[in-house]
Amino acid sequence: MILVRRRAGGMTTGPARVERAARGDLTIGDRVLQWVSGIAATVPLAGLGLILSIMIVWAIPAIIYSGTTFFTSDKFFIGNLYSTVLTTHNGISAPHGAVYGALTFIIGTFFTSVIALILAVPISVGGVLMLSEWIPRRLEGPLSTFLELLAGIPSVVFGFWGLTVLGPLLSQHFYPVLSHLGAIIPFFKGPWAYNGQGMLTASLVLTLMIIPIIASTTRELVKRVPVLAREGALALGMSRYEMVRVVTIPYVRTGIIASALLGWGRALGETIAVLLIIGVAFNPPANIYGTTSTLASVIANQLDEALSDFTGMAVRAIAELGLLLLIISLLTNLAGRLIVRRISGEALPVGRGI
Amino acid sequence: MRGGIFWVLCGLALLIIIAPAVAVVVSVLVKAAPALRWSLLTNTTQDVQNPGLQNAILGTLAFAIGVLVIAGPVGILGGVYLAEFAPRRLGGTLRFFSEVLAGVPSIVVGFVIYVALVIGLKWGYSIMSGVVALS
Repeated sequence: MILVRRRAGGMTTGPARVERAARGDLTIGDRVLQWVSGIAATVPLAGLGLILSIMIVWAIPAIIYSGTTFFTSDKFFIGNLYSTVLTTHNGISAPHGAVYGALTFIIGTFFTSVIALILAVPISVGGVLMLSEWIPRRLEGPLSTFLELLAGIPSVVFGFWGLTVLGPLLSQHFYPVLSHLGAIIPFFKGPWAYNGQGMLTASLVLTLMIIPIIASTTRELVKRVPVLAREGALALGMSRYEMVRVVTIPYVRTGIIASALLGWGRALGETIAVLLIIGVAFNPPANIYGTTSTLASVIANQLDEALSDFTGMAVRAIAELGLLLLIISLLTNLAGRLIVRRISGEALPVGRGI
Repeated sequence: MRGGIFWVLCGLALLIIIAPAVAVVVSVLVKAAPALRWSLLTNTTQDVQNPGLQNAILGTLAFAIGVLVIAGPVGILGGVYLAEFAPRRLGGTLRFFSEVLAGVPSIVVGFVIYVALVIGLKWGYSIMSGVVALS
């Protein structure tokens, strides 16, 4: 290797430089760039490590104070800030009567994100199949613009729209119909807020927010279904529906699971839209329309008040909520990304399902 | 027959995607229309007679430029490294983590930066801490 480099270094003509560069023999400028850009490339990794470690360090006192109450209590109360009497648990003091239970927020986060996911996956997949398999190619471009439009709407605009337009609309026209389901599943029984604020409205807006994530991945995958397999299916006399069922869907199935995980991660961490729509309440939802809070929305909602806690424990408790949210969303993201990586390599399972 | 039902459902799904996208934009525009006027861009929110959004708009712009200045070079250089220099395995790992970082909920990042900068270094609320968070 050294011998090759020396010989290449001896030549100064144009093609030689190209040859040298191609062989990985770098000039000083190249080396500087390599180091600087290498450092830049590690920033995300360092950032991730920093975020995780700061969250852990900040949450430790709250973890000790709450113990298992964190997971078993649905009561979140930062304590009486005007009392001089402190409550002490496991050697750590917090304002009088402080309880930091996360169960409400875990339930709220779980329901909102799972309802959104259950609705968003079939809608995204159906819409994408319609777009790429049925609609004429001419119209595909213009129509897919709407997908990008949906992806580009800021979260706070979604929140505002859900609060002022969608919520009232649903509570007047859709929820009265849906509540008939309450005869079979009590969870669907009313009442609901007159302006529609609550869990289901939040879930529906979340659905709209994660559709672009799932739909764009599905669209990429549908485009990569091998033409030969599709044509083969049609040549066998299958209808377009049968071709989609036998060729396209089996081919994109894993990808849909992966993108659903990524969409789920987004739904879990969505803050401002949910905060505006869910109708901040610190109790588990009474029914599917009920007001409650999610892990993300309670952090945004409570941080300001938590800072007035003179013992500083409320901020620690919020750090623990954040740590839980971080771990959950890291896990869904890791799983999603790992699956995406596995299937987006060169070795795609060609024509699987035939 | 089953194919027909399938495509009708798919069409419905596409409609559910398109309709809200239009509805959000249209309804926000309709709600905002009565308030839209030139002074909205030139007056500050403290203006008693004719309040505007100038400070908010300038703040957003300053914010965006700040983010671009900090995150731009890091992002581009990182991309250059991944594309040109990184050994295959290392590059894959680094790219993987930057994708995962993109999935971290913004509220968590915001909290961390808040704790680290505002409480830790006593910087106070400032554009800088926001910039670091967004980048």
